Amino acid sequence: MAARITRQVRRKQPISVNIDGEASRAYAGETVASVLLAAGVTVFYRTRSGQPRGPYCNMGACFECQVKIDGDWQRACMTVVEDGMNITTGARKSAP
Amino acid sequence: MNTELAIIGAGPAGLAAAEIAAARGIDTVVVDEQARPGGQISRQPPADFAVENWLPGSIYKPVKQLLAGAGAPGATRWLPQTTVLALQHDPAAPLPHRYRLLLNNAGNTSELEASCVLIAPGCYDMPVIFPGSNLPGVMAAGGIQAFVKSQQLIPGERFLFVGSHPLQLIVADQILQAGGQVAGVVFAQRLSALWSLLKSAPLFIRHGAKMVYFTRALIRLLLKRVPIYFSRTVVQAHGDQQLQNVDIAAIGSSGTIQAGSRRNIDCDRLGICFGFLASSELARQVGARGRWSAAGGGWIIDHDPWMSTDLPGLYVAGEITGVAGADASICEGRLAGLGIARELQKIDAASAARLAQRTRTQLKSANLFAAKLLDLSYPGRKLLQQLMTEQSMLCKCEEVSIADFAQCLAENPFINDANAAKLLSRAGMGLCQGRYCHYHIAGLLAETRGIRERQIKPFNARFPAKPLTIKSLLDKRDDQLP
Ligand code: FES
Repeated sequence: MAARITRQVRRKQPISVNIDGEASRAYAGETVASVLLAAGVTVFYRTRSGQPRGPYCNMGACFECQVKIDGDWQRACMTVVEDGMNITTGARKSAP
Repeated sequence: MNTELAIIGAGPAGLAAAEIAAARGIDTVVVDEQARPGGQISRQPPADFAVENWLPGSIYKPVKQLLAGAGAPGATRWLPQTTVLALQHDPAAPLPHRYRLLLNNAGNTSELEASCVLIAPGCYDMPVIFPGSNLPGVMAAGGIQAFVKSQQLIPGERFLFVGSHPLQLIVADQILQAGGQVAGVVFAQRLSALWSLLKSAPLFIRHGAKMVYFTRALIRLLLKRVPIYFSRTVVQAHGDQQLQNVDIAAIGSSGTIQAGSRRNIDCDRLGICFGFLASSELARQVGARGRWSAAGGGWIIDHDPWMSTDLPGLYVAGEITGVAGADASICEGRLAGLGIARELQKIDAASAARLAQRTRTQLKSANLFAAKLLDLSYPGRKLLQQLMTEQSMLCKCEEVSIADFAQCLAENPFINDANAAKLLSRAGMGLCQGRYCHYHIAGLLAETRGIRERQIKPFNARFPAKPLTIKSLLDKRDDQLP
């Protein structure tokens, strides 16, 4: 599982997001990818054939970190977390 | 809205050009996908974090200096978290309308017109295809590094790094220092290749800071007893839903992977570090002339001594001209800035030439170092293609395997360009728009058809350069940008 670095780092008061219906802690400025990894999420989405996928490039190029945020597919590594976001992980892509 | 200069990318090259543009009174807009300027090399922590002693290494000094003035409100307009979806050139249009950029900021699209455009989009880690390469937990080494540098997150527990680029030593060291475990660093090269870099006296004299930084990282890893392997490569990643362990195998003296030498290493993160590919899609979309460089980033863009492409008013700087690192990018950004100032008549030709002189000398030296590094770190097509077993995914988005693609080529013997291969096989049609398969498709086509990679026409870079929802397009705001 991922861990936040705390030495020499000060974050603001935690905020809260829902990951698959469960409340989880997040900090202002974090990307959704960081919040999910820190919460132990590994499978961000599933391909059409059902294969699990998770972040690869962490810079917006690969589209492997997609999750549903408040119902829309987004790249988790390029989305800054907001209080109260509803994040769905592991959803499967449907045929185009 | 319009501007004299649009800079795409706020990394070292874009920042260096922006600095010069500002000093010469050029009306400039800088567009970047990240929340804060810096590019990947100096990806800043979020503004909401307070980080003490961020990137202390001396190699980060030049970029950190550039960052000092960047992003602040002033004459230069900064558009963070903004993607360029399209770049169009209209040769007949009067100056401020010569280039049109379609921008996307969090689902809001808008247009920007510019007299000159500098494309400085940087690069991304070269993807490598092998069985299990798409398992969650397999990541680009640069992606791992960005979590540490910017998000202040150790994105896993036990890391293994594999590749052929020395950057993996630096990332492994950063993980250790942040408190993560490193199971090993695996180099495809022989130990002697790395030694040849370390013992190169001229490099040490001219690039002392970099070499010392690199050597220190190596020493710290050795002191912590991190195993460093040579002449070995990843061959398979295993795990149920998530990476659990990785097979590595020896590479024989002829460059052939020795199947019998497999050994298994437990890890939950695998960092892939075989070099970088240039982000040339916008330059290709607008029609700038380029060429293939297998070791230097795939499709890269041609330019003159002022960093101008073959299209008037269109400039390039940084990794898009061939992957050469931050120091070279800064030099090229400066030259592009001067070149643009010259074209816009904000500086006379003689002064521009004089000001460029020192930068040109620095660039030459940075390029020498970069060439040496590329020589050392290019894994070669032979190794890459041995990793691609039949069942590995060539196109991870559309799930086209190596076997599927080979069959498609066998059934269509007259196909030898990437676009036709894409239409027939679907490889390259997914959301990443070929960024992760294009390089390998060129290699496979070259191998199968017995031609050179540079003879293969690259994927057409279509609009939009990054996918967006139809809704954001319909909501296009033609009014002004912030
Ligand atoms: S991890 Fe590649 S786009 Fe987010």
